[in-house]
Amino acid sequence: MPTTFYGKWSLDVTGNILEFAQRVRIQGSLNADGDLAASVGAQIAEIDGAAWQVFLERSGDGGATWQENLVQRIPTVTPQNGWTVTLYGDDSVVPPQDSDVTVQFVYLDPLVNPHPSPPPYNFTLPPGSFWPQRPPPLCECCCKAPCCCRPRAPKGKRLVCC
Amino acid sequence: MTIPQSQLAPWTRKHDKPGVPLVAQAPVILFPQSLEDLIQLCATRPAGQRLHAAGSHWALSTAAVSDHAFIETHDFNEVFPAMGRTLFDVVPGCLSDAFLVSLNAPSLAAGTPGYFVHFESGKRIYQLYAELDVGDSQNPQSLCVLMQNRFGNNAFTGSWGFATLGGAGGQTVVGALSTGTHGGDFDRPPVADEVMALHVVADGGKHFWIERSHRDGTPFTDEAKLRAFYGQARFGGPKNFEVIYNDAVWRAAIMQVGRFGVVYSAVLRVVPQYGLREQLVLSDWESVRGKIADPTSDLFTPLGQETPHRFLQIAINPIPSTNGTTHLAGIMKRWTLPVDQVQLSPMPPVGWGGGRNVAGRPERVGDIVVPLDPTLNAPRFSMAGTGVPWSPDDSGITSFSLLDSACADGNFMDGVVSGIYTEIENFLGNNAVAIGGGLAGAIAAGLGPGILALAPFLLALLAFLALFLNALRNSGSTMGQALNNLRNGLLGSSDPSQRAAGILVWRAIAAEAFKSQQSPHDYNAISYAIMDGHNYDDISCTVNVRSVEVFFDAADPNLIAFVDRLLQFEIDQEFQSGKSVVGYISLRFCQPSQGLIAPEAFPRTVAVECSGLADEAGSTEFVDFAVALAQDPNIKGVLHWGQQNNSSQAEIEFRFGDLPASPDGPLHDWRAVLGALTDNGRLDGFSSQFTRRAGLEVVQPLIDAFSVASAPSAGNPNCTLAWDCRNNPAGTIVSLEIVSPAAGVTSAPGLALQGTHTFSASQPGTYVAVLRASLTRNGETRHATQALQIAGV
Repeated sequence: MPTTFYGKWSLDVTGNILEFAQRVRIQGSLNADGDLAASVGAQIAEIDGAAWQVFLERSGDGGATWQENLVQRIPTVTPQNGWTVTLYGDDSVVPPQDSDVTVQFVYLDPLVNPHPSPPPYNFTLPPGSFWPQRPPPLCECCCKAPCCCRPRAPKGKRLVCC
Repeated sequence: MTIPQSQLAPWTRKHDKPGVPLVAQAPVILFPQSLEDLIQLCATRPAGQRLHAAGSHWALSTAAVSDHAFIETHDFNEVFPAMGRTLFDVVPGCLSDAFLVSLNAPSLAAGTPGYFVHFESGKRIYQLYAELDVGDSQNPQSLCVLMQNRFGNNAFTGSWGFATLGGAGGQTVVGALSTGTHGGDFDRPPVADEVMALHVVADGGKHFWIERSHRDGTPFTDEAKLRAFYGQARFGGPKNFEVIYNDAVWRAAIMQVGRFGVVYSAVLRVVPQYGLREQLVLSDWESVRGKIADPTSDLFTPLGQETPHRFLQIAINPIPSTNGTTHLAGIMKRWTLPVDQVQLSPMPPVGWGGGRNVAGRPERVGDIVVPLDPTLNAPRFSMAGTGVPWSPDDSGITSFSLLDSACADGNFMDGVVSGIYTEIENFLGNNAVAIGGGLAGAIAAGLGPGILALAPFLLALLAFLALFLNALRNSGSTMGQALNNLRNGLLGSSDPSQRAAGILVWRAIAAEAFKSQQSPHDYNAISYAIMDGHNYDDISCTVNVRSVEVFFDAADPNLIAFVDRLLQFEIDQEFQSGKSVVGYISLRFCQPSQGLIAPEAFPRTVAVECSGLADEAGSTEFVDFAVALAQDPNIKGVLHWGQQNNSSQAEIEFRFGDLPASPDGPLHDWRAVLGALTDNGRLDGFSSQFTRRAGLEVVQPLIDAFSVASAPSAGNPNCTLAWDCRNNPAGTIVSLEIVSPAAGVTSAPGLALQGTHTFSASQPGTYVAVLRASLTRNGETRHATQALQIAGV
């Protein structure tokens, strides 16, 4: 089964255990139809089209014939790229991390996936700077702790301590 | 018969910005009082003036907006009487004998014994749950008393309750079910699926009683009795009323977004009154998100010998903690409890009885103060639709809707901001933070200078916080406006370090606010007191709300990525533009509805609600981003009909089917029912800008008749063709093409919907005449064609 994408994406082959010859076949796009040898690092900067399909295919006979892999589609969000879809292909059912070939797609639509920017500051403190909490102060309305004096519902003014 | 109306008056929704009506001058707002009124309105609608029913005005969607006239089933201002009666003509008057017998001796296979209530469409949820709690034993017209008198059966004398509900009780019951409103009861479908029958008045004035088919051989109602009652002359006579027992029609009608007509009444199945235990624990989104796809995880399945729960809500603080790596999440579960195990209320018991004085009953329903209130057309209860949400300490903080509960406590923001002020002071004094505090929650352990580098900027913010607290105590601004001032003071600086310090403080405040609203608890009360978490005292806090709800299959990995992408958006907008959302993301779960266009379309449906106060810069952006994300075809979220929903026809067809290339699926069936009730769209009185944009319209034209009216003969070669395409939506175009035996083509475009055409069939051989009806909506054109063969002479 092909995986359908809509709109503009980039492609990056991020894994291939070299058990088979692997290729990525793209169909129905405006600008990137065809086959791409799925070697790690192979990229397509931009694939566009209203709706286009991706096939992950393997060959056990040196490229004479190609079979479709079983594909798992896993969307994730990364601080670097935002909405990312990873396709994991294998000749059998395996956990994604054990797949024969891994292809990552990053959504390039700025409306729904504006490019994230890494936070310019780290809100951190050395581990020794976290102190146990002090006992809460006694409550004005009932001389107990913890204190969260609230007006009694529905419209009463009397404060109650929880 | 004169139906009260107002002209050129403003029309607004409950959650719109005060003083800025959504429709500044509604041409007509009508206030019908009865079925006869509705029939009259629909039968005498002036051409070109469209109608739309309005109930409580709680919808956040433009689906509630009419092109022209609003039919108010429950006057928003409570000046004119509501169509809020509980009815007894059908239940029990027209129930079939077979059904009554089966009700008297329910089989074990039938499951939980139920009861049935028939009511007009202007009745609000809180009104009905109050009436159900009182029960029918004292009402001689009721099904309960009939069962006692006829069978000696006392099983129906108790209190009753909704099987499930959304999170508030202010909507009309019919409005809630027509738009797919749901709760978080993951073991059952939404309330629409409890509908036994709907009574709909369509454009033209014809009215329809719609039930499921009777496959099990036990009809709910007796058709002859229904026809005898609703076929009376005052309702337009027997030809003006139709009874439909059909699953597809029922599935279309229970969720029809006002397009089929105005619902006059509904019959709902209700269940014996029960209690609910509610438990809330605080966690974080990053710890629980991995469990959602797994129905056997402890989110859904009890641990060990624990009783199975029925409800799950995950409320997420969109403003991050732990240096932007985690997000606080309140995990709420509910269990059904027998009423006799519900704790007792400390309030005086209600005067109408009801047995044990269970918690929530005096507080959320109260006494009957007017047995038949002329404005409600129903009993008025002292506490129904009033007051703050029930909670054991009367604080009104039930943690169901964060905005609601925050508004219930006037000192809420003051306390939170004051606490953070003290924490900053302490940090500046000793370069350390207290575990469990807001500042500690916002930061993570790590090496490097971290927030120590921000100390001078935090010091500057103390002065601002002091000024803010002073203003807060002396101003009458909405909560959204106050928080917008706070956000602007903290995040508004163009200096990156100053803004970073502000973001840290903002996050600390947000975390403390969220924790105070989602504080762990474990309590129980009567069903409606737990389910209706709305603060009815709030008239200024949760106004100008932006909200969207997006539905996914709980097993769809897009769900988790959708939430994660929203959370990433919030981080980005804090740093990039100094904006931030004041709101929440909440996930609630339910089973699929049988409604054809129900957004609860998945075996394990999860509804992701994203809400924010629009007065606060960043909330609107956050909700709009959620909408854009949901509508993206790669993500394919389904939007709630009753909340922000600007879906196009193509987007709706992509989700519910009936694309031009594949005319099938649930939307196709829904449109077929719409066509059946409206002469294939000719009667378009309940069409609106919303339904036309979203494609909730008839899209497929029909040719009712196409024939040879006068065949050619030896002495007269003229052939006259006749057609009738009147039963089609406005805009349908008819054309005719005649191909002669010699392959000559004659075209007649732009014909009337009904007419005749004469041509000379003077060539020997066969003529082929093709009639085509075409309809274009939102750029999609569909055709109907019929062909005739005519022998020439």
